[in-house]
Amino acid sequence: MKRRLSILLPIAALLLPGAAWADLPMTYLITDGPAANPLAHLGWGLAGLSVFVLLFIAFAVLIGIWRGRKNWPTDAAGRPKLMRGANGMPWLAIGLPVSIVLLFGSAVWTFFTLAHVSKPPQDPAITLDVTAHQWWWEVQYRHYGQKQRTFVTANAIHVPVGQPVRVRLISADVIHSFWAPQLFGKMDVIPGQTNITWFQANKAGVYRGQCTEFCGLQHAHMAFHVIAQPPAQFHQWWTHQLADAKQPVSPAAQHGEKVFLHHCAVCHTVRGAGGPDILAMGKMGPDLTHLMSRKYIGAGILPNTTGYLAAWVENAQHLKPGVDMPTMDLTNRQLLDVVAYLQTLN
Amino acid sequence: MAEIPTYRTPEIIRPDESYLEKLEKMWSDKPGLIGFFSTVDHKKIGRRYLVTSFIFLLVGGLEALIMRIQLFQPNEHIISAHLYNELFSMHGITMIFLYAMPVLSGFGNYLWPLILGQRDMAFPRVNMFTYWVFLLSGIFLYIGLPTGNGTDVGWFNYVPLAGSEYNPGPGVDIYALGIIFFWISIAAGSVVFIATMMRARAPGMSISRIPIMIWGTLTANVGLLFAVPSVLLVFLELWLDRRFGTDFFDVAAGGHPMLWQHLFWIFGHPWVYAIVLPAMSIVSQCLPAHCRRPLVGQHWVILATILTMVLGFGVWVHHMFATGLPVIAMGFFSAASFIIVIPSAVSVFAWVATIWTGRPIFTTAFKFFAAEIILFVIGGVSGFMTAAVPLDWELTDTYFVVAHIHYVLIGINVFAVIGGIYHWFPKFSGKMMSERLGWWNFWLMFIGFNVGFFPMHITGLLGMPRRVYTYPAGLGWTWSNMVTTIGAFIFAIGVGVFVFNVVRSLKAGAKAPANPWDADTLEWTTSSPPPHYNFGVIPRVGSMHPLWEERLRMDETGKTILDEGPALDEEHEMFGTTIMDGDPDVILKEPGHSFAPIIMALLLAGMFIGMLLEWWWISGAAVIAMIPAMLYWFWPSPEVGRAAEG
Amino acid sequence: MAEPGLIVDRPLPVGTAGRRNPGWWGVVLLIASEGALFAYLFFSFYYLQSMADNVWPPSGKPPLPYALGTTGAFFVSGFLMWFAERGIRRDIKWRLWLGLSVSALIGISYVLLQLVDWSNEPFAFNSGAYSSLFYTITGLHMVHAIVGVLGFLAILMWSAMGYVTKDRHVAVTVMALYWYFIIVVWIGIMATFYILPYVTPR
Repeated sequence: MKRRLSILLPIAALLLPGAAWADLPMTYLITDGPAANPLAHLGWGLAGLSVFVLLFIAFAVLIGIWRGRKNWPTDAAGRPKLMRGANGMPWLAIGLPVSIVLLFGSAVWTFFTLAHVSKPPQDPAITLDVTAHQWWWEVQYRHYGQKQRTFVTANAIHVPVGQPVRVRLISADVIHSFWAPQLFGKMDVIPGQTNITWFQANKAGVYRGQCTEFCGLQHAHMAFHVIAQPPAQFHQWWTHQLADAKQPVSPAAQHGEKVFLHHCAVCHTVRGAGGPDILAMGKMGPDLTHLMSRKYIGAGILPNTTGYLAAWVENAQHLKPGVDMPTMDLTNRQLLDVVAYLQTLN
Repeated sequence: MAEIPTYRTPEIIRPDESYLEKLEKMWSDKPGLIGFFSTVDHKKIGRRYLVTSFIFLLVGGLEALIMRIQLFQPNEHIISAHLYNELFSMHGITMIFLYAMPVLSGFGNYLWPLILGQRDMAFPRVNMFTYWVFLLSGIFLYIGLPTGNGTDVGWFNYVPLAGSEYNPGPGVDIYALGIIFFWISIAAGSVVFIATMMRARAPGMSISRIPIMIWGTLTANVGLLFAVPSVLLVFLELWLDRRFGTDFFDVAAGGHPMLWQHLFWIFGHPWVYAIVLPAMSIVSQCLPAHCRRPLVGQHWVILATILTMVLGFGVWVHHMFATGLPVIAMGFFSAASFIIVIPSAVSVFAWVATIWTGRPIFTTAFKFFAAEIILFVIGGVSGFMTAAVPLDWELTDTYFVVAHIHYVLIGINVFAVIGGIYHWFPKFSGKMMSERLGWWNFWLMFIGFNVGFFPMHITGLLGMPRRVYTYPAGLGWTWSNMVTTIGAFIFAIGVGVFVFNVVRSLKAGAKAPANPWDADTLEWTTSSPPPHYNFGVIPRVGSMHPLWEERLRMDETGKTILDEGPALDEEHEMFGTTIMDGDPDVILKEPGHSFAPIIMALLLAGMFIGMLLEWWWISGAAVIAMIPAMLYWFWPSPEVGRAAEG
Repeated sequence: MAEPGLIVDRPLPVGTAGRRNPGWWGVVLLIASEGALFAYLFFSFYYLQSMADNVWPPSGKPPLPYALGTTGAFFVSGFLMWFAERGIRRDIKWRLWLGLSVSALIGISYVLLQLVDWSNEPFAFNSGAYSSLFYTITGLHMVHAIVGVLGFLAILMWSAMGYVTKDRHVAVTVMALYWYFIIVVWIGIMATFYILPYVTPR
């Protein structure tokens, strides 16, 4: 992969003025895991073959036109003489066998790749249930055998570096498609069936993913991020996620929690929030227990900053028209306090 | 009523003035509006198909330009998400359904009888009916967009997004009913084409002498005959699900959304071949005339055409590689998708060899055909890449596929169609098109197209999904989208030059001779434009290249006879011929002008409007009115026995 | 031996030609397309059945005698249409009348019987995928049968007016073909909905 890149980078640089590879988080020409690398190799190979075929035919057409420019004889009536007979047949007689050999080779490579990536190199220790909603991703981490180590988060998928992860794909509504190009190819999320895919990140880092099957009004705004961490860090993160939300300390945040419980908790869960009379156990929207551990809000579309968070809480319809989150009828004070509360959910 | 003798031996004559005048009078339409609505002349039907489908092309193009403005830069909000989704849905429906096939039906209807040496299609009234249904269904499909009720789930309309739970508005109902309405036109049209090819050719045109353009259109229509019921059914099932609560796609009640995908793509892939094979056969037919030689390996190309369609029924799953099917099944359909490249390669090599060994004349038509070859290869190899299952997991639903579909549909269909118009315009109108404007037209379209659509491959390789109404900055998608938008506008200017050239040439073009390109097939023996009766005496065909026989020294094996022949001059008469040998075995009495086609089409429209509005009494009345309309249509003419005549 | 087609100096039938009429081809092609339509309907049925997690039909075994009776009647009418078509070729009018009128009656009674069967079914069209398919397939078949009956009546009328003769009987020929098609589809329906539940192990 590396060696090939060194040859192709100059060409790519010509094709992509001003864009360095590092700025292309969604390209699948450079990949970072065993579920995607063979796909990229196949992609480079077939693309190279395609360009070769294209250039060959294009030059054949151009040279053919150029050849025909010379004067051709006319017949007795002054009409141009017509070519007859099968003198062009070598094109078919040679071209077809060569095409068949190339196609056969491509098919064999395809099948080997297919066999190679359809199963992970070793049985994954971690299984995630990813539920696609219009238009966000719910992610459930399961620890089989230890029920209390199960928790739910959204739009940010943490995985350990160098270990395969199995993903079970469930649809809450319509068909979506789950895709993080540098880690794995697409797998559709279809109601009525549970598709299973897998991937593995070879390097620590953040990988972007996005829904690719048209799923309605805000299909364009249904992204997610895969955060690959060293295993130790990953398990630390997991343990942290299991904890309930801490009780807010500042008066603003305490007031914010009350506002949250009355306005937001019907759709959102914050584990540990509320008291015996009211609980934040809503299932419509993302689980917010550890909201501040996520870098983005609104399904990967906005950075999780105070400003965007406030704007989102106040009027999500403006930022992502049609989303289930309604425009909140909050006073300025309530808004600021809710945001203050949310920012304690780290 | 005059009794018509049951048997007759046609007299062999050389046509004279009075004979031709008699024919002209016999085959002419009534004047004025009555004639307009009652004509069944295949040439008029063909022209109407061409003009109407081109208007749809322009509308679909406008929709595309609006979308390209929106995508010019990231985070653009010139139009809303809803409007964008409506536009891309209608753009797809318009281009794929309302433009791509009808435009080819236009060529087919105008040219088939002329190329086949006949006076009309097999069922002139059904033929006219297909046009009216096409026109009315096209309008029907468009009632949603201007009223804000356009369908917004894309042309392949996946459930459950298209179901009533997630899409309660009337948009999808308009689409479902309108497209069922439209399929009636397509299915009826394919019956007309197939029956014409089988039973209504010139005497002597045996199966091996049928020109290649006929084969392309025929193959497409045979495919459609079996593919269309699938999509008609699936839209019917969807409409029943939406309006009556049936459970075809409802998982909770035993249905499944994958049923939609299977039935849709069982139709969808043959449909792709149906809209490219006739266009390819236009190239195969016209390119040789501009290269001064017959097509290289013409019988191989015909066989490849048929083989493509047969294989085309076995590759539908390659649209569904990411749906979680078993690996074995995907391997099978992947292999089939690789194999289907082979017959396409036959055509490409045949075209290249024709240019290579011929003497190309640099007409505008030739430029379009030569460009088509190159664009075909680009669309072909990108399709070949998506045939590789694992690679397709990355490519599918990105702009790479958008680039692919546009190279296929514009590269193969639009370029061949425009080249075909330049080629046959003299025959259609009696005027030559301006070659000077043609130069501008070609280069603007060719450069604009490649500037616009080639970068889409790169956009796709950089991971941009299709059908997004806007995209964030910082993902590397900005510059290629900008270039695409610029190219799209250059392309649009090129199309504008084409329209201008057509209009100007109609008014002020040079008068066209009968055979301006020195081409080889029968349509060029008629005057430009052809008389109403097409051929004074019916030609008797001795080879695949009737006008080149002498120069190709083919006249030893068979000689086409044009100047004298059987006189068929009692009402609308033409020969019916045997399938294999083209031996005449009956003198057919073709129906003349009739209001039955438009009445039936309007009643169908009434039925569908009633179904859309759920005013069942309208639908019921329309259906009941169809009974007398059908009786009127099929009423046996007292003089001749043709109760089942179409 | 001259090329076929180049010599046309022999008497040719004018206008009417039985199978040589393009209309015959038109109906054959229509039937092919309609056949594909029913094939896709059966595909829908077997596909959804293969995906279903309950036993089809969910409401228990269907009434077999009804289906067998209908099948028998269809076979009678198919034979009669064949008999009629052969008859009119030799200008035997009574065979035509018999075939058309009895087939029309059988068609009408099939439609009525089907409606009775519908009203006796323990499920409605919207009570699950099985019933949606049952009503859609039998409903579309019924529509085809109604069109067939209307065709019979039209040809009866035209033959009473003297339009249908030995020399011009293509209407009868294509009508017979269409009716055979309806019978073949019925056999598919009977096998799928009425026979299969008795022979499949589950």
